[in-house]
Amino acid sequence: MQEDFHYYATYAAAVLAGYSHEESMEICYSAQFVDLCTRTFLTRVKGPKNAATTQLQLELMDADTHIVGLQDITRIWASFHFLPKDLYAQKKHVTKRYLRKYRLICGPNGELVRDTVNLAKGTSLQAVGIAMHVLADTWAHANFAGTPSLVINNTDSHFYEVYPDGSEKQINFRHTTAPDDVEKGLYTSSLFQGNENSIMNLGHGRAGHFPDYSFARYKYLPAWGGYEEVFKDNPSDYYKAFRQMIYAMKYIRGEEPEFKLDYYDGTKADEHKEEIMGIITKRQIDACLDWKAFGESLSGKEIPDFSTESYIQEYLDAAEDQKSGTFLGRFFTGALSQKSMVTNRIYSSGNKLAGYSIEYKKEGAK
Amino acid sequence: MKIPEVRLRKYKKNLVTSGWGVIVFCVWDIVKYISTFFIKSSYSEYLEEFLPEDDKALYAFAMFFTLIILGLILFLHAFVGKCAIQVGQGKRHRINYIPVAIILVLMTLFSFVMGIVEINSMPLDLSIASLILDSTMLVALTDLLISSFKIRTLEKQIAVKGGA
Repeated sequence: MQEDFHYYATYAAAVLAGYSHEESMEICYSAQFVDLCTRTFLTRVKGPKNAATTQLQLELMDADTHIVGLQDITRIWASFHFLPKDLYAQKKHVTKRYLRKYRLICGPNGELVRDTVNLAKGTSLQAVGIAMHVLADTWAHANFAGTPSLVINNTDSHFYEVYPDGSEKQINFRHTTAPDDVEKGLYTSSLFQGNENSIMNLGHGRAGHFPDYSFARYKYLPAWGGYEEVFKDNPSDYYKAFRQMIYAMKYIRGEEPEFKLDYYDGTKADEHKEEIMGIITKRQIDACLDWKAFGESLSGKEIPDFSTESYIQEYLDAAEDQKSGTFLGRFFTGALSQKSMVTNRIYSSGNKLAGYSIEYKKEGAK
Repeated sequence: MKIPEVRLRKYKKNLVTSGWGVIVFCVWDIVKYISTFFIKSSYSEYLEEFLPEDDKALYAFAMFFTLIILGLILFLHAFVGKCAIQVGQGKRHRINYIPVAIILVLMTLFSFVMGIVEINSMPLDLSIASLILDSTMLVALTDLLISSFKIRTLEKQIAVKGGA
């Protein structure tokens, strides 16, 4: 997902879940910040490098793809952007090596989503924001894995956009720096690389930004699918993601007794369903303005534009023993907890693709 | 058992891959025929064993005929490969390349068998490389034939199912 959903839509969901404007701002800022907290940023603010929640393209270009490098990449992307749906998934007639990657395929309503939401309960608003980012991405990034893998993440020429009237158009991805043109149906994706562990095969790179567009309905043959066609209905999924975020935040606030999977808020979102679906189904690359207007109409307050600079000075000015109490400090703590939890679950399932892990909550940063 | 549409996609992909394999490996066939003559002796010396001395016209014709044969080999492979790719991509439905593909299978099989029989007539590494490449070509051609027939069968099955 993109800034329109992670920042503005998360704000709207937080308001509908009962948070105040100020609390909703902390949550939505943290949700969006997950897409920007890189090692480069952490170096700049002298923060803990292990708290990185994403990697810049340049960082990925420089990343090693030997086993340790791959574990480092997988730890970040599987923890924050491609949360595995089923770490114990079974598939017949495949090698163990393939099965480890297959089990990292992202999808909504997996046990790890419940663990993510439970981890955020009783902690900071920053942790809630991180959880909302992870939850939302399980919907948009479903069917792709947060590890570089050709045999899981590759796509081919059988990739069709399905329009609301039922017609289809084949998408021929191009490999340029030109922006996507939704009017002409021109989209960019990463280059095909025959190397199994190439960075080009990370996540949904082979489908470009297309899975992140809320209006997109598409069918394609995922490399792991055994030639079976997968149909992805983003409008429906994004609406479910929005409702699930409201439900999750209600649970975190204590208004719901538990967080159940496959369960969505039924009232708050439905009151505004027409407006929300209008935003989601509109063919546009960036829905920030629409979501912003919606969020402001709910709270009656202005949502400032996102800026990575907002909390840097606070962090830099704080004394060493006070840094963890700053906005960024709380975000870093939440990120470390989330990363530790997910990589620990992956490791405990017998899968070393995310490397070895410790329980951060018990043992702290090492 | 997967549904017919899924299996049809699988065999179409196979056909495209095999088609490309046949086209690429035809280069090997050309290299093999030329190197066979040059390993045993220079091609001109080889021709001189069979042609009358000083008959330059016949010699030139023989060289020209050899080039024609090499061109024909290239054409047959390219024809089969290209048709298979088009069928796999759904751009063509006739499978009249099948008889040519069968001829290529027989030629490759003959080459493979002769490669084993005459394994000592060439350096060992060249013989082994030749056998490996011939067997790969056989696999590609066999897969091409099987995929072509499977596609035909499945398309009919789907058409019947659609009609019913």
